[in-house]
Amino acid sequence: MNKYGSFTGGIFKSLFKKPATYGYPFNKREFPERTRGHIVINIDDCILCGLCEKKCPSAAIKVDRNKGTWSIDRMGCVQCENCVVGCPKKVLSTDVNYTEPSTTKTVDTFTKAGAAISEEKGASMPNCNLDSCVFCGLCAKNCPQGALSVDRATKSWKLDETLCVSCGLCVEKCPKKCLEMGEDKTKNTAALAPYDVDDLPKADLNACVYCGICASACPQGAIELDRDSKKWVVNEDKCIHCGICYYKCPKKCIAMVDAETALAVAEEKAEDTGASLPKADLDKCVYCTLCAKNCPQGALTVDRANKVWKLDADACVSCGLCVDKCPKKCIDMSASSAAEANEPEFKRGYDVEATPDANLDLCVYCGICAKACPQDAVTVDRENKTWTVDEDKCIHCAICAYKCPKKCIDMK
Amino acid sequence: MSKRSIVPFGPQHPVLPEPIHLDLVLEDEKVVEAIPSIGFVHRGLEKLVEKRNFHDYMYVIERICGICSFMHGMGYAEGIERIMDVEIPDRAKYLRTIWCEMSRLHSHLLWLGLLADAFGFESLFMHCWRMRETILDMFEASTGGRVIFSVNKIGGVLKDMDSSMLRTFVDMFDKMEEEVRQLTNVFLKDYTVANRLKGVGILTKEDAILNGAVGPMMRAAGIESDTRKLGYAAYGDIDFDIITGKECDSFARCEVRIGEIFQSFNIIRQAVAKIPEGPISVDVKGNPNGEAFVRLEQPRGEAVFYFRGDGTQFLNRARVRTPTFANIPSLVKILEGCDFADVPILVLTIDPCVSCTER
Amino acid sequence: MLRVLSAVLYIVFGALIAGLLAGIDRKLSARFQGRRGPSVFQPFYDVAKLFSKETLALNHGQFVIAFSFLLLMVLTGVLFFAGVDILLVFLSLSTAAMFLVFAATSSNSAMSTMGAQREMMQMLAYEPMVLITAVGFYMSTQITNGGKGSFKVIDIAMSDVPSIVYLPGIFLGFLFILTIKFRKSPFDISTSHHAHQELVKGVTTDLSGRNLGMIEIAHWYENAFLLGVVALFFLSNDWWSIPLAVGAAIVVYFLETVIDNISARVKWELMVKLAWGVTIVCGGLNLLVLEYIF
Repeated sequence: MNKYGSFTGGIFKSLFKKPATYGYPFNKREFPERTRGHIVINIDDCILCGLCEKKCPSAAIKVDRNKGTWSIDRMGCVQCENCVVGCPKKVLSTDVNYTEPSTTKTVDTFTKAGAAISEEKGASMPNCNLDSCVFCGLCAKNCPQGALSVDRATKSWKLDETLCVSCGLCVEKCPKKCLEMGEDKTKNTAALAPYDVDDLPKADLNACVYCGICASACPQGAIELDRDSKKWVVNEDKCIHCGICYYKCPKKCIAMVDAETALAVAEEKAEDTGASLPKADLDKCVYCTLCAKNCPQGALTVDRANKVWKLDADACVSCGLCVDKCPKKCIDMSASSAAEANEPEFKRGYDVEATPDANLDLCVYCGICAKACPQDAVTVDRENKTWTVDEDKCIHCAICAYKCPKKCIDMK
Repeated sequence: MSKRSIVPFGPQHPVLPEPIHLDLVLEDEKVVEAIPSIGFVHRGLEKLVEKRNFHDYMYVIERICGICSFMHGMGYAEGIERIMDVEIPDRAKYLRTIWCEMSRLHSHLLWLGLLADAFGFESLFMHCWRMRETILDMFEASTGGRVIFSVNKIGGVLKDMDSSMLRTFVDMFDKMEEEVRQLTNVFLKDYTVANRLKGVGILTKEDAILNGAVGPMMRAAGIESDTRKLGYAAYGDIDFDIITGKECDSFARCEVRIGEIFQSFNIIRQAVAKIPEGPISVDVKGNPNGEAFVRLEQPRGEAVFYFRGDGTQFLNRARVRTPTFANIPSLVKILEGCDFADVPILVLTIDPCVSCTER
Repeated sequence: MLRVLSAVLYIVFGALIAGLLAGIDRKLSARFQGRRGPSVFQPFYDVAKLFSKETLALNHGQFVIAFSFLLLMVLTGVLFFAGVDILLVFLSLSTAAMFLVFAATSSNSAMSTMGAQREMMQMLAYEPMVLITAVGFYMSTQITNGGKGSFKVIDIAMSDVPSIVYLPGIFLGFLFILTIKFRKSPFDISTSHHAHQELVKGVTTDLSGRNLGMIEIAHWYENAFLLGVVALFFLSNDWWSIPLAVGAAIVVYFLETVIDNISARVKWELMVKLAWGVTIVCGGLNLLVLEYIF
């Protein structure tokens, strides 16, 4: 059953075949595309942030910001590609060729051209707009260099400029988008937020319209608000004193006060505050519907076709958002009753179906009308001196006529 | 009674490049007792888990072993995914399965080669390793590494194999299978090989259970157990039988491993046929908080992983029970009463991986 | 004159040719194994390097013993190529082999001591065949020279008909023990060509530097001599027997390389059984045939 020499065929076959080995390293090998040979760096784009040094499992990478160098211990590198994956600027990559064998440990050092790092880094460092900063500390946590220190208690945001590597990671991570890279440091010393760090928000219920914007803006869900029962309560345990509600309130009725004051039983809201209601100047209104879209209560109805602007006074909370959002600035809070708000006052200087027509004698073809047109219905060709309006697109809003600096457009 | 002598075997012994040390008590050329000692390549990789971000620790745990590197990485990824309750895409599961089986293939071919070398069959050794080299080339083409692949990540895998690459691989495996068959026939049919393997190092079923043998060592004793049947990665969708042996000797262990080589070819073919399209990883946010056990069938047997996180980016504990460690009692058992000339063969039949054992 | 010349040629070229053969063997083995293999001059580079290395020896007597091994091996070859009595040649060969055993036991290392024991086991296995070979040569000369037998190598080489004609069985038996003498698989049990063995390097484990270099050179001389014995089977007083003998030696060497590559190493029990079995069957039968038929 078992016979001797069963491999004879096998060895003679390979005697006449090309051997599987070859004279490496004298004969170069062809590597597949994905081979991890050694790490290469595009040093010009490197910002020396040091993230690769932190990521390296074998501590083979050293970044020296003062000298402007990036160095790698070729014998220490284990080609895991963790630095390549983690580089925020994508300046690291892997080459297929292996590190040359050597009898000594080789350290390859790359120096960033124009190593005048100290001058260059002045160009771009994070600035914090302390007016919007909530001192959450995320920027400091993400800083690879530990250059940022944020103290919530004292409301301080500090940058150690000698450590900063201008990587921009803090800007990316900031949830409030209050950081930006730039030379201007003035914002860093801007006025502090107008409240203490332990302050809780408290709404002036006389002014509050229960629009709910504060509650939905609160990152912690600490504000409980009920429109029907006119309830506005802040949960002390959940509140992180970030002040976002303070900034978001359209009525500016929230103040940051100390805990005792905040938690004191709120006085009953006067039954009728005589709150004002929005009223549109229909003469100016172009029925763009932005006010209706932004109304948190859906109290506004705007019908472009029939030129209707209508307020449901019962739903309106007098928050004033419609006033803020109106592009024509034709809404004010001047009405005191539903009747007054909806009083029709057609004083428009043009018919609602009228299309614009430019007096070409006066027209300077500046193109402002074309840019302003929300429908791109107006085309202005400065070179050929043409001014055309696409009647199919035109929504008769007359914005072009209002915007025209030469007042040469008529609605006809 | 003849005089006893103690012969040191290892930690630096040319017959096996693994730093295990055995004190062999010999009477003439018969081994009466074998006293193992380990600890020559302890590197403290488990302790490092406290110093490395849990994402970066992947590159550390992969380096526990150079043969089942992929499976160590995968065990870690599965453990953390279990703690964090991450469901990885199906395609990633299949890719992991394919790489797992490729690892098994190259490990078993490597083992066959080492076994051939242990009984002094140099040409067979070289040819086994030549076949293994093809698989390493495939690994390099698909992952970028020949030994350490760095292709696992928590939440999936880092690199994809497109359909043309998978097609090429399957074609290569088809071609390889024929050649591997010729090689393995030498192991199974040659007179001198059978002379060295048959009836050598018998570990009975009872002894295998008593000594807690795992992997091919256990299956060769007729115990039907394979952790792959738990259905981790994509193994749940794959059809395969557990290969067992009857004779409980070194030849049976060789037979089981040879059977597993062809089984791996088969599993890879099935996985390539079934692999779904889709993403290869999901984003993982947050830090692991909790603990998990993972069991994997490595080429050498069952490995058990334990991880515990406390919600920070550093894990509290990582622990690996490697198959070689579990097989050492069985090795000591079969070494008793064997010929000195059989010691290398017996040490090899447990497929020792000391860098795994000592971490 | 011819005898002196061939002895001098052996001293000068024996090691070189055998070294080169060893290089070819390595290249050939490599190709059998699908490898590119080293240069055919690699054995010379290796030995040159051994001589440049520090010689670490636990026992300084080792040098004397290793040198004696080399000297006796050269003497064996010189006696053989000078055409003297083949019994003397084989006696010298055995003495040389004993010095290798001495060199191994001089260090107290478990590996080399066990290697020495196995080396003696190998001698036990092959010596009967060596003696039968000598007797076979005598009997074949008896036949070809008309009843007047001779142990002298020159007489055997100058016989009318190549000895192989009368000694096919003994030739086969000699080929068998040649595998043991060449230290090839399946019988490389006392020391193997590479150290992947439970005994590490067996008899040569504790030899290093210059001492190991001398042993290597001695092995070359030994191989040259053994191939000479193979050639002797084919030599006669016709001119064409010389290329035939050289060709036979090369073929035998190639065959040994093939055997090395198709077998696993066996244990010493099987080696002794097989060697004696072959000795009795091939050698014994051949002698009986010569005794009773011719």
